[in-house]
This record gives sequence, structure tokens and C-alpha cells, in this order.
Amino acid sequence: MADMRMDDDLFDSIVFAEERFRDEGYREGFEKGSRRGLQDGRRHGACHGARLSCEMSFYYGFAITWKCVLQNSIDGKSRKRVKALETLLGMIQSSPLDDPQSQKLQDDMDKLRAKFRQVCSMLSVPADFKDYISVAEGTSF
Amino acid sequence: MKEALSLVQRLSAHPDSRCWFVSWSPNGTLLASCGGDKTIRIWGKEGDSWICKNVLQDGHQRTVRKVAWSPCGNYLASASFDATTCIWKKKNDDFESLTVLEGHENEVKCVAWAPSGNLLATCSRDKSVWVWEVDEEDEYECVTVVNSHTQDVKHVVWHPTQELLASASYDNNICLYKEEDDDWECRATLQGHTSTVWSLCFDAAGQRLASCSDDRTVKIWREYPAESGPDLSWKCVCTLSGYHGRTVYDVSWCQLTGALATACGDDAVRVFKEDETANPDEPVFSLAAQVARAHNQDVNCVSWNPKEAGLLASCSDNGEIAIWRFQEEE
Amino acid sequence: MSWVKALPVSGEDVFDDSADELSLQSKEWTSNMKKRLRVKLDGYVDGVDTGEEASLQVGFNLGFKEGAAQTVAVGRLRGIVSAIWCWCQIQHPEKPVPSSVTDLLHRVTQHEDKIANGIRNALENPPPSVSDISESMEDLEVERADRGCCEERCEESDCCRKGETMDLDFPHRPQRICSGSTEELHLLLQCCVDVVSELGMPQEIIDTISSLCGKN
Repeated sequence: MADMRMDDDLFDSIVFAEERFRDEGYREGFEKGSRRGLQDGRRHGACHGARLSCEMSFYYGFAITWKCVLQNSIDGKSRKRVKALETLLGMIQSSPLDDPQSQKLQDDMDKLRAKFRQVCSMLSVPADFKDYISVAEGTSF
Repeated sequence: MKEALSLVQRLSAHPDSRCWFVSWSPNGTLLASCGGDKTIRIWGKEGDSWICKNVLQDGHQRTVRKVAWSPCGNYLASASFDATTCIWKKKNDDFESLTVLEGHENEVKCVAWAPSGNLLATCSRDKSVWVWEVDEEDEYECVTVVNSHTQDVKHVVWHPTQELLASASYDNNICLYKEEDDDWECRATLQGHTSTVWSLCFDAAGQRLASCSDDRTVKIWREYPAESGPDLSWKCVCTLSGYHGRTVYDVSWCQLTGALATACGDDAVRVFKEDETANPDEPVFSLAAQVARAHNQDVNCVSWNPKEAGLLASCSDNGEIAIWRFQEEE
Repeated sequence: MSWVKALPVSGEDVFDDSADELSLQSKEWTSNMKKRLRVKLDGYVDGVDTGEEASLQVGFNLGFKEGAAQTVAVGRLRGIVSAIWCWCQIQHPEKPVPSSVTDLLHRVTQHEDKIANGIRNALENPPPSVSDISESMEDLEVERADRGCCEERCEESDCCRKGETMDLDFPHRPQRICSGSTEELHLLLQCCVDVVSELGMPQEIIDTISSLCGKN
């Protein structure tokens, strides 16, 4: 009987040991994986953030320059254009790039792109102007 | 059936191509058609028959999907897959290209003039709806780009009297827009169709909207007083199902008689009449007439003549236009 | 069940010098240890997967903000120069856009590409992959077993800490891309100010450009 019991204990301790080995490996792996995930995610996030911010910043620079050019004109057409530019600038300022997961950011970007297209149309910017934007859009990763 | 649709004339309008759309001039004397052959044709009546009066070509590089007359009848707008919208000006018996509206990223699917003639709406596969303002010098300026749909926008139509715009999309929804502080905003999203909404049409008074869909139904929507805020309240009050064997591509509500015509992918043209004694909250429409094989391919469009009651034009993938007379025998 | 007998029964070290006669069992012991290490490795691989999955989004969000911050100035500058370019074309449709503007636009675009490439290169040259690590881990652990590392009791001993000291991960710092990029950007901004002055465009544009300088 005593032998049997010892065998049981032994068996338990083997299973227990294996479990511990597994847990230990898992813990180390988890730590490693977490660091790796953090880094990979960070790198991909950086690319994505850079691209989106670049596009949004481009719209900002473009709009603010045109606003400076047009804001002293008093004709109705310029007034309308300045108003559209101001709307675009306001939209950019209210679209912070702090949460890439938010649906709002995606919606905001869609609206921004639409407004930018309207502004271009109002400014009679040549259609091939798109080529200059595509430089930014082409920077895909 | 007491009523019947009889063929007046069949025209080979865009041979070897598709005829996508037909549109009657506001005075009902001219019919414009457009097609896959990149042209627009103007049809007029001479004696008893309809003949081609003009061919407008070189305006577009690709399929012309829709055409629309300005309320005054002096301008014609054409929407094309080449991403542009052309404005044509009628001069005596000829048309000249006045301007080209650029801005959409890709295929323009539809164009429509507001009743005032000062606004023009376009929509595109790029998911956006654009509103353009027309000034006295015939200059067009985009006043808004709205992105309320998540997919290809198939159709835009204006309310007959108000500055209210409706759009239909591949995202199964209908959006209604109103101007708000120089910008156009979506004020209602009408959900109910289970597949692409292809076309829309208001009734003469503008209190109701008919929509047709890939889900083989036609829905009637009615305006109700807004519950609160600026949003509009439109509710589906009737669904015509079981009549159409395939996608319903177009719906036209006769402004003179109230008859509702449909164009269907099962090659048929159908006309529905409303039971005027029914409760307006639960309107009843019944099939009054149909031509099962109106064309030998998909029927893309139906359009009631705005001045001559019962005169209906349809067009098809086979490039033909057919002109029908809907007769109500008393 | 012979390998069970080889297990230390009462905390006695099987690799004790006095246990020479156990050399045969010792071999079995080693092979059993390998089995256990296989188990440990399985746990390790699972851990890596779970850990990676759990932290990927966190890393993405973090990197997103970092990346976004890097392109604000250059993006705005390209927007400004593009607007100037368009303005020139509309103002004088009969003349080509001045070469100073075209050149500047070209340089700004190049600079932007350089920043984007810097970020992309960091992506394309990542530290060793998980599978590399696993293989190294295997070598490491088997070697450790052969050297006679004991089981659970050695948790506090040096041999198991070795797992940390042998960390194959490269320490990762926030990427500082293009060390010379700030000076280059300042140069481009100055150049843009000159172009605006030359063209006689509104002073407000210069103020805008200057504010870009201030932020970076």
C-alpha cells in the first residue's frame, strides 16, 4: 500500500512538474510575445499614423494658405471659398489623431476628403492636382 | 384588366449598345436618351412619329448614365462614367456643350436639377452626393459634398417644390438632405430595402416618395411631422412585393394621373394604380397594366410625359426606346 | 517506469558526484528533461502567441500617435507649397510655374518620402522573428538540461534567470528617424518663406510657416 501511495505521489509530482514547466514556459513566452507585439504594433501604428497625419496635415497647409490668399477679397465668390476653407480647417482641428481605433476617425477622414474635394472644385484647381496628393497616398506600407 | 398599355412606337435609339435612361423635357415635346455609346440623343415628334433630332457626342469619354433637363428646358445635364457631368445649352434646335463639372473621383451615376433651376445635384460611385450652385453667368460652383452613404450612390432626385434632395444607394438606404447654414446635411435615412435602391420618385405634391430596389419591391414612403429637432420623419407606408420577377430599376410617378410605372430586370413594364378610397397611412396600389416582354432585355428606365397624360417612355439594355400609351377605359 | 525511479525522491540531487553509478539513468533523466523542456517550449510558444496578440493593438495605438507626430510639419509644408504652386498656375496660366516653387515642392515631397521611408525601413528590418527565438530557446534549454539544471527547485538559481539575461530581444527605443531631418525641415521652411516673399504673397502665409518652425 505504501508503495502504491508513493507511486501516486510520484505520478502527481511528475504531472505537477510538467505543468510547472509548461506554465513557466508560458510566462516567459507571454512576456516575450507581449514585447514583440508591442513593438510590431508600434511599428505598424507608426506607419499608419504617419500616413494619415501626413494627409491631414497636407489638407491643413493647403487650406490655410488659400485662406490667407483669399481672405482679403470681398467678392461673393471669394467669401464662399473662404467659408468652405474655414469649414475644412475646423474639421481638421476637431479630428484629433489620438485614437486609431475609433470609428469617428474613419468618418472624419471620409468627411475631410469630401470637403477637400469640394474646396478643390471651388478653387478650380486643375484635376491633375490629384497627383500631388497621391504622393502621400502612395506611401502605403 | 380594363386598363392597357399599348405600344405607340419602338425606336432603335442606341444601336449595339445599352440605352440607360430617358428624360422628357419639361414641356413634354422632347425626349432625351443616353447610353453606352457615349452619346445623348434628342427625340421629337414629327407628324405621328418620333424621330431623332440631335445627337450629342464628344461630350463624354465613357457611358452616359443619366440625363436631366433644367426646369426651364433650356439646359440638359448629362452624367457619365467618365467622372464628369456635362451641361448642354439649347440654342435654337441645337445643343452646345456649356461646361463640364469635374470633381467626382469616378463614375457619376445621376444628375438632377432642383425645381428652382439654381441647384444641381450629382452622385457617384465614390459614395458622395454633390450639390452645385448655378449663378447668372452660367457658372457652376460646388456648394457641398455629402458622404452619407457607405456605398455607390445610384440616384438623386429633388422634391418637386422644396429644396429637399433624396439619394438612393447600393448600401440599401435612402438619404434625405436639407440645407443647413450653407451646407447640406442628411436629415433622414430611410431604411427598409434589403438590397440596392436603384431609383426614387416623388409624387406630384411631394408628400410621398416611391423607391425601387434590387430586392424586387417598390416602397412608398410618406412624410410625417418631425417628432423633434431638425430631422425629417419619413415612414414606409406601403410595399409592393410579389409583382416583380427581378430587380426593379426604375419607378416613375405620373404627376398628372398618379399612376406609378416600373421598369424591371424581368423585361416588363408595369403600371400600378392607387385605390383613392384607402387610408392615406395605408395606401393600396394594384397592378393596372403590364407588358411582360416590353423589351427583350432589362428595362432600365420608365418616364411619364409631364404634359400628356398616359404617355410613357421606357428604354432597355438592348438599346431601344419604347413609347407606350396607358389607357384607362371607363 | 524506469524514468520515474530516476526522479529525485527526497530532494536529493541526482547529479551529485556521488551518483556515478546512476550514469545510465542519468541519460534517461536527460532525455526526460528534454521531454519536459519540450513541454516548456510548447508553453513558451503559446505564451508568445497570446502575449503578442494581447499587446499588438496597444502597440499600434502607441505607434500611431508617434508616427502621426512625425509627419505633421512636413505634411503641412507640402500643403502650403502645393497651394502656392496652384496659385501660381491660376494667377499666370500662360506662364510655367516658377522653378523656385516647383523645385521646392519637389524637395518637400522628397523630404516627406524620406521620413516615410525611415518609418517603413524600421518596419522592414525588425528584430529576429518568433521562430528564430523559439529555436534559440530550444538550444539554450537543452544545453541547460545537459549541464544538469534541476527542476522546480532551481527557480531562484542563476541558471533559470539566465532566461532573462539571454534575452534575445533587441531593446527597442522610440524610433528617432532621420537625425538630420529637423535641420532639413528648417531649411525647407526658410526656403518656403523666401518663395512667398518673392511672389509677394500675403504676410499671413509667412506667419503660418513660422508657426510650423516653432512647433518643431
